[in-house]
Amino acid sequence: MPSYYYELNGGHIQATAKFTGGDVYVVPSGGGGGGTMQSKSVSYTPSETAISATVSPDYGYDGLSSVSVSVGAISSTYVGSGIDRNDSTSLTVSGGTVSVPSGYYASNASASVAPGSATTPATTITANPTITISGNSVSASVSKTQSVTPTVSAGYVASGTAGNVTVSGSGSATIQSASNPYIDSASIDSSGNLTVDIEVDTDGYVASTTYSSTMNNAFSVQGAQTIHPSTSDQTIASSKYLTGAQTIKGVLLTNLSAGNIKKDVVVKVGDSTDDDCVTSVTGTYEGGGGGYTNDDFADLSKPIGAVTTTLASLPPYFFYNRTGITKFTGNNVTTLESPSYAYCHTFYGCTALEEVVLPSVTTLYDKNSVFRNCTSLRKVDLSSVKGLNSSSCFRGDAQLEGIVFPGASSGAGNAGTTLGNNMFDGCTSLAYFDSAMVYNIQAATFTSCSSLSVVVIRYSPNTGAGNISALANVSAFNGTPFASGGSGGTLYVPSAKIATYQAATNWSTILGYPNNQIKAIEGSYYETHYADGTAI
Amino acid sequence: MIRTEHFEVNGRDFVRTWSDKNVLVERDGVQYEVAEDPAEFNRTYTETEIPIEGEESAEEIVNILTGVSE
Repeated sequence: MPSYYYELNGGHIQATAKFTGGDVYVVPSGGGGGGTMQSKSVSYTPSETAISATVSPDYGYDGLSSVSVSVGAISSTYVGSGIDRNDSTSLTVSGGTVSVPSGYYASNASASVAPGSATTPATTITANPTITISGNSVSASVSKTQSVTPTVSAGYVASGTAGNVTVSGSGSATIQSASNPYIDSASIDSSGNLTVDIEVDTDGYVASTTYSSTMNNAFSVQGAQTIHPSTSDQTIASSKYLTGAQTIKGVLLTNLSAGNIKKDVVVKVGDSTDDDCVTSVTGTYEGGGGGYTNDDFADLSKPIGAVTTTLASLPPYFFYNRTGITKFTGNNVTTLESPSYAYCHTFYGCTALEEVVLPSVTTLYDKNSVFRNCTSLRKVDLSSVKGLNSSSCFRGDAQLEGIVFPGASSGAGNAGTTLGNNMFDGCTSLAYFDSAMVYNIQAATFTSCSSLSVVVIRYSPNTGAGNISALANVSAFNGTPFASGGSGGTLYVPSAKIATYQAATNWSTILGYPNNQIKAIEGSYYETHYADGTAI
Repeated sequence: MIRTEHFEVNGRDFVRTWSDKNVLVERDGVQYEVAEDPAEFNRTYTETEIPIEGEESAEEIVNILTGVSE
């Protein structure tokens, strides 16, 4: 017989049977023998962690005859805590790419791609005119380059159009006569360069545009000149652009009066087709025969007008201060005599003398002051002169317009073509100097030649200076446009000598003044003409 | 004695050379009263024995000798 005792165990009274030998414990079928068995049901809520539980029989039961375990079903929408919760803010956009992180989205997520845009394409049309000036005609052709460049910003672009480019019109260029407004202006500068401003109307593409084109040396030019009356016809050459006034001087009729002309001799002044178109005077003088008398020259100021001589040599001081002479012609004169002290003074002080014709004189060398103070002298023909070295030769001749020595040559000895001291000092009207040869230019040669703008030196035998004319002193050009601060002049020399002049002693100073220029004779007007306009 | 001085033309340095004895100076057989050169050429001159004479003064002497009155 088992003994029983009872004890409290966790609030329950636990019965414990203690068997000893001989005790019979009948185990009931299906359970412990003799105990009260419990059929038990337990239920659990689903969990993300494993469920471990001990099922014990309730108080009063000895064991469990059956255990029914139930675990609730997991929601079909359940998302475990290990899965990221995302929404629209989780999406990132870069350019046109949307990044969608993995995870759980409780609702629809969206992200916007920045909108793109396309501008109306810019259209650039460039007209490329080619302007051709040939002879008296101007022509042009125009080609066009068209480019269309749309600008599209990054982003989503809906379908559609981004502006229209409309191209129409023929794109022609029209250039017509000078009176047509398409030619805005045309001008010719003092060097004969033609500049034409042309308005090109490129219909339909771009607005009218003005283009400029210059054709250098399009025209030969003729600067200002004064044409003096002559016994032969004179012409102004055709096909020249006149850059200065062409002055045809009036005829001076000093002392042309009946009393100065032999009786019944008719003196006519006119041209070859109308010999008295200027005036006609019939003489009334009944004195001695023709020619000059000693009395004529006794009075230095007696108005004896033009003088012509057949002499071959003129003594020194021959016409010294004879103010009555207006013109002197000595076609046979070869020599201007001078005393040992070199002061020739042949025409010194002939203040009414306007023109001297001495085409056979061979040298001015050491013939100092030959024409000094001939204040009315405008023109001198010394076309055969070889030697030039004459100090003060033309000094004070304020009306002398220019000088040309086409015959200057080494035949006078190399140094013979030196330009003497003060040779043209005070020739305020002297516009040009042109010599076939110049060895050296002495001090004050051109002092106060305030109109001197062209100097042409065609050759120099000066080997020491590199076959250019030596300049002994920059003072030779004091008071001329070539001087410092002057309006500028142009020195014409052979093209091969330009660099030598530019680097030469004293010339480098003169040519360093900003308004002065040095140009090649070749290709210039002076290649074919002397500076007085006569053809070479 | 040879004298020199620097001066400027259109921004370029030049040297002026002359004689204080009032004679011509010479280089390469060419004589000058006053020689002006770009400084970078370093040109040198020697004095000659040739005096620089004013043309006017000589003429005045002649006029005195000949009794010519101008």
